[in-house]
Amino acid sequence: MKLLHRLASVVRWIAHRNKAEQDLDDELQSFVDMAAADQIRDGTTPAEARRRAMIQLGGVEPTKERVRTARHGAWIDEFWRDVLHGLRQLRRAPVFAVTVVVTLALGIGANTLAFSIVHAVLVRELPYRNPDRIVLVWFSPSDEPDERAGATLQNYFAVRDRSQAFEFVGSTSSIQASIAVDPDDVAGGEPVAGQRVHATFPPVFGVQPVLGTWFTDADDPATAARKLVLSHRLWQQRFGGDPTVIGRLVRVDGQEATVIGVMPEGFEILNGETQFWTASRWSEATMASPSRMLVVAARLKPGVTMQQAQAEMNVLAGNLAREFPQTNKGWGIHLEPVYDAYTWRARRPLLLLQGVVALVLLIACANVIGLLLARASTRQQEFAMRMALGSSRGRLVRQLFAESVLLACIGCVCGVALAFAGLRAFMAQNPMTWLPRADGITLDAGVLTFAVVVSAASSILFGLLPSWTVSRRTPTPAIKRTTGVGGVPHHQLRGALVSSQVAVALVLLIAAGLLVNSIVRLSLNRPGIDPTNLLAFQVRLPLGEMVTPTGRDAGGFFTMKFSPRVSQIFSQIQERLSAVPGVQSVAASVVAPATPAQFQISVSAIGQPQAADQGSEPIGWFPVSPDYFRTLGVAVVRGREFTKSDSLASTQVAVVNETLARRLWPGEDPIGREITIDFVNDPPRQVVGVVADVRETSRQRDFAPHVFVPDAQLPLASRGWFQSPRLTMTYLVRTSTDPQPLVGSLRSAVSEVYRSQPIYGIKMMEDAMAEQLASWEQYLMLLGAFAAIAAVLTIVGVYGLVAYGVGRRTQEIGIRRALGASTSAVLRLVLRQGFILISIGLAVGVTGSLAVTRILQGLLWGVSPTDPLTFALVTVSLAAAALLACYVPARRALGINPIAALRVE
Amino acid sequence: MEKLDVPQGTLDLMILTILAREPMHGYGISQRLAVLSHDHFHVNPGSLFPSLYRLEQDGKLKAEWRTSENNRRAKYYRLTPAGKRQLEQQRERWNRASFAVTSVLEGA
Repeated sequence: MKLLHRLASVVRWIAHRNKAEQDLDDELQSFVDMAAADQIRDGTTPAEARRRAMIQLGGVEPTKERVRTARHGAWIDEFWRDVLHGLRQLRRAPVFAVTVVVTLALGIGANTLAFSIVHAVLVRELPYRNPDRIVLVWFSPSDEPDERAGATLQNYFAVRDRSQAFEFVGSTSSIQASIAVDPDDVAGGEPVAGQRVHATFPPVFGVQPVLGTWFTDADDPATAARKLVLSHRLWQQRFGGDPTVIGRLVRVDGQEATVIGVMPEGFEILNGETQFWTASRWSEATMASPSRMLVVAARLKPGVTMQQAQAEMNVLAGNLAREFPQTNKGWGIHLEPVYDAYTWRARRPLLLLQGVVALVLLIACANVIGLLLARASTRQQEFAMRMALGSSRGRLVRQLFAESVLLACIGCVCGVALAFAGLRAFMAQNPMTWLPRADGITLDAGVLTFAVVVSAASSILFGLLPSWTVSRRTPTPAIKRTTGVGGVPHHQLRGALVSSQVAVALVLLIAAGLLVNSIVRLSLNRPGIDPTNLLAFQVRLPLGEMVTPTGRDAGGFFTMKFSPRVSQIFSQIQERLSAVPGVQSVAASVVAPATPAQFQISVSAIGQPQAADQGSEPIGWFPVSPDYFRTLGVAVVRGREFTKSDSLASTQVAVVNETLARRLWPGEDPIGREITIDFVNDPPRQVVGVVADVRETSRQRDFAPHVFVPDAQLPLASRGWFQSPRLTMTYLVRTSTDPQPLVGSLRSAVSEVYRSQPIYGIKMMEDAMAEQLASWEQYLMLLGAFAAIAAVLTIVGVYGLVAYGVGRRTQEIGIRRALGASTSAVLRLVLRQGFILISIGLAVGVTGSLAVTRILQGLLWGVSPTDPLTFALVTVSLAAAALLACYVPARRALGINPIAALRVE
Repeated sequence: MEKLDVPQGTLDLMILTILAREPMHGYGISQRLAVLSHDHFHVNPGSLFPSLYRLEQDGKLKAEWRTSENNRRAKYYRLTPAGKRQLEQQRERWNRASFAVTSVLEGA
């Protein structure tokens, strides 16, 4: 009741403020009148009576001020008046206001942008039920315990059936398949990424479909395999969000399947590209398969800790090693929380980014503090006057604080706008390719709250310091002295701020410099093929027409026979493409070039003693067409490359790269030697050529051994896992000019040979190779931009300090000039301070960098964290820029006219 | 004679007491206070008015503009029922406190 009453009274007071003020005025007036009237009655003259009455009142304004502050809710009113006053002050100093707001906006904007990324990737909870109870069960060789390898089918069932620690255990494996919405469309078009899951997988994550159901009948693999669950995205894109999609008949890789469910938006399991889920097919026969294709996830039972579960897995790994020595000897199991599995790659770079922007904000705040201090000292007179008129110190501090809050608010709004613009630019670069969960990056309520908290924190930081220095001052000397000569008490504080800014900026710039150095080295690290005017695209032949199943082999793999037409069609397409005008040469490969080797195989030289380490390192295996090396621009060092005459009927041949040649036949000529390749039904092959080394990716520093075989000589009898790659051919087309306009004619050339197959995955090799660096470049651009902001802010800070110093000492410099000081003496006077501060900052910065750049270790490529060249270049550049920032105002000091300077007063 | 400071927290009590007799304006309250305290207390308007405003805001007093006995317009304060209750409470508390202080001083 009392509170309500007060609240109402506060509201009344604010609403009728003018009337209340008038009322107070009248009341005090009537007090003076009555006091004066009493005095007159006692015989004083009216004028003297008035004077005495005024003395009795003790000053109208101070009394009014005391009444105002005594009222409840006075602070609201006061704050509001302070804000209005602040606005007026800012309008009177637009350069100051704009500088502060821009500085803050950059600092707050950078933090908001970085946090929106960190929030989406690292902070946002995973879209599962109790995600902290979900773990991934990785298998890792004992000598590489952090490796994240999958489980064999046997391993998976062992974890699922024998562990006590888990409530649910499920597994998944990645597949690619074309989804045809129209059941009559057998070909299906471009394949999309999907996952095969075991029926116990969904309960691990505890997410229900928005439509239909998950798989429930994995125990009947025959029917489960024909059921399909759609991702929200695929449902929207290919099925138009059709609510009646459940039960619809579609084709998955040409096979009929029924849609049974649609998952909620944003649902994914480790792979954001996943567009659909099907149930795993397995049977007793495939149990012994050695391939580690399965990613196993599990939900901990309530009350079971990670440590307990891990202990159980350690025991299980020991048992598995005894039971299945072929696949499990020397393998351990390690559990990883699903959150870590999502974020381990992104965590370090993102935390680094957030750290960098936090430092940028500190630099920005230091600048604002510097500006506010400079401004506070020019306002000394104003404050002194207000104190003399009855303002308390607290009152002045509050007023300064209100101005800071005002600045922070404007800075916050501008910063969020900047972050919004920055985020749009960032998202336009498609960060999903390198950042997990990047599609969820938005400026949502959480991020905006962060922006407000950051602004509030910085306004406290830069608002309190200057207020504190102001409040220490006593009024009288300040009123007397308008411009001082030296002796500014907070000058040291500003100096310390500038030194720290230089130091922090130097650390950031050196870090950015090291990363830039890395990417320059990376981009110079060409893979060894010539990507200009080279176009790549894929053609996929339909499974049903080209493959005949032949049962299963002893290892449990499905076996099959490819039709001889596969090679014929592929080589006809190659011929037809070569005839397109403008095409210089055409090649085809089962494995796209300049990508990580898809198949790793062991190779041994016949009649050659096995080297000790041989067989330990797998060798990249590439089935390719004739003209492959010519088209890619890879030099044939010895012998020849494949020709059309290399067929199943002719001698079985192979080409090795220089690294493999050196390894198998050190110092000898490999041509004519024989090798065996550990591939299904592969015959011994004769080496007919040696080619130059090519990097698999641009991040690879050393060359890996590669072996090439003619795709026309691939054995027709094969095993299940190879069917899809064998039917997907990457064509490489070298043209004399920009190949982009030729895509139409290339497309029709392919359809002339094989009508039903569209071409897809069209890529300029130049772009594709740039893409590998793109994630790096994007990250670096962001980091570099932030470091650049830090540098600019620092330079502004240095400039501001020196310019302010010159401004304050105008009179002094004028006197010195008048007394005959030389140009260099004046310059020295003005520059000395800046020079000392910058030197201190640089020294601290270099020392700091030496200490902290180690955290960049994993992000650098080919550069040591203490690379002297980077350190030197960056330090010299920053020093030069900072000195220039000193020099500009110093020049102005030289231009000071002594007479004018002395007349300033 | 040297003036005394108004003891901490007693200004409200004295204002309420004075206003309990009849409604009064600010100047009148300060005069009455001086007279009743035999000129020991001279309350400064800089303390009086903030107290009046706060008491009004708390609903203990009600203010209205009226014409004074010698024909001037003045703002008169009068006690509200809540003000009366506050006065009784504070007086009772003050009596106890002063009795306690006196007992200590005389008993020691």
